[in-house]
Amino acid sequence: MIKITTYTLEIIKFKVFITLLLIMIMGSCFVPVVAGDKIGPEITVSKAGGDECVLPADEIRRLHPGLLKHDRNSTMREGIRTLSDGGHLKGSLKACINCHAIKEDGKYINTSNPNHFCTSCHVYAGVSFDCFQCHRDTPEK
Amino acid sequence: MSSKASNQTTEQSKTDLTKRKFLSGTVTGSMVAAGVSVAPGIFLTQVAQARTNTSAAVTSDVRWGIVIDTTKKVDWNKCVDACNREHGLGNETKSNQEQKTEYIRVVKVKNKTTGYSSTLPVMCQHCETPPCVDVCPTGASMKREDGIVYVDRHLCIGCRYCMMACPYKARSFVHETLTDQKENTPRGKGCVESCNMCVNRIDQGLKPACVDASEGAMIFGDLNDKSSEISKFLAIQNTKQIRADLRLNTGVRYQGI
Repeated sequence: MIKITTYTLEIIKFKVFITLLLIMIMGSCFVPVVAGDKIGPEITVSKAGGDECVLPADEIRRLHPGLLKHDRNSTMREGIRTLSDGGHLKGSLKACINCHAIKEDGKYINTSNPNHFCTSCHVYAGVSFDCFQCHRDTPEK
Repeated sequence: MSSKASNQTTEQSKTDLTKRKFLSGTVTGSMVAAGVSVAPGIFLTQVAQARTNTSAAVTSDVRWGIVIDTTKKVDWNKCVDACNREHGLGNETKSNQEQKTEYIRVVKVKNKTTGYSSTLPVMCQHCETPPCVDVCPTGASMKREDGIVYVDRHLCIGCRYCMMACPYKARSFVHETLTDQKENTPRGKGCVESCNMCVNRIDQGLKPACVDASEGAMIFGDLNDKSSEISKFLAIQNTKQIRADLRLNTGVRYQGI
């Protein structure tokens, strides 16, 4: 027969208290993630051309810096501005902006606005970009 | 048997046609081929007026140039205004007059002994051997294959060495943060810039904005093409290059200075 002393009772009480405390702390941590469906950034890109743009969406997410850099060099250095069928290059920043720019209150928004389609993801990812120190971030017309 | 032979001939002619198309396409490159055909693939003249195929790289078959006739008393400020509109210049708010970008400067020259004076627009002279390209430490200052000299701002670090090297004072430096640039002329703080002969317009098959605004006092065209308007003008007129002693073989020539 187990002899329960006052001392052991104190220890059991303490353990129960600690466990409850831990459950409460952990619970409070995980509640937003478990309850929310919004994992990842909310990209405010307008789906002007459907789900697939110049490449499938997931490839664009990963490869767009390379695409932009490749085509900027061929345009700047060699004067290649279109594909052989006359369409715009895959990495045309101008085409991205003209197609995906979004309006707020009837005006196109700049990259300083967190809802700009570039900013919305870049802020989440913590990646800075300097394209728009020179390039315009809204359509011209 | 005979039908087979005729079939073969048809096949043969089809092949020839494709080959001819291929050859002429290769020979003329990105230019407009409108000449007298001597034999398949060989043209007596090739007329290059504008770029039509922007999906292929530019070649050195073409060298773009401008002739400026200063004897026609044109208000060159119209050309400057057209340039500013085209490239969205003049939107600096903090820079002083010395710092503001100008692609074209209007310069007045006077012969002190005779009193003859003329004004002329001076922009990037698009040298064949540009000193700005020689000195650039990053390769940002560049000459395109068709002779247009300009700055690749992606690589420019703003050291301004090219501004020092240019004998024509053609380059400017952007001193402040800019917004609302033109779509075709991205420009920003910390980069050197200069006249790019409206490369965006040339690639669209248009003439530079200043040439369009010059009321016929400026001729734009291909210096390599002997039948172009500019080459014909150069062949009969005594045109000059500014600082010809430097032997830079400029793409911009002047008449009447």
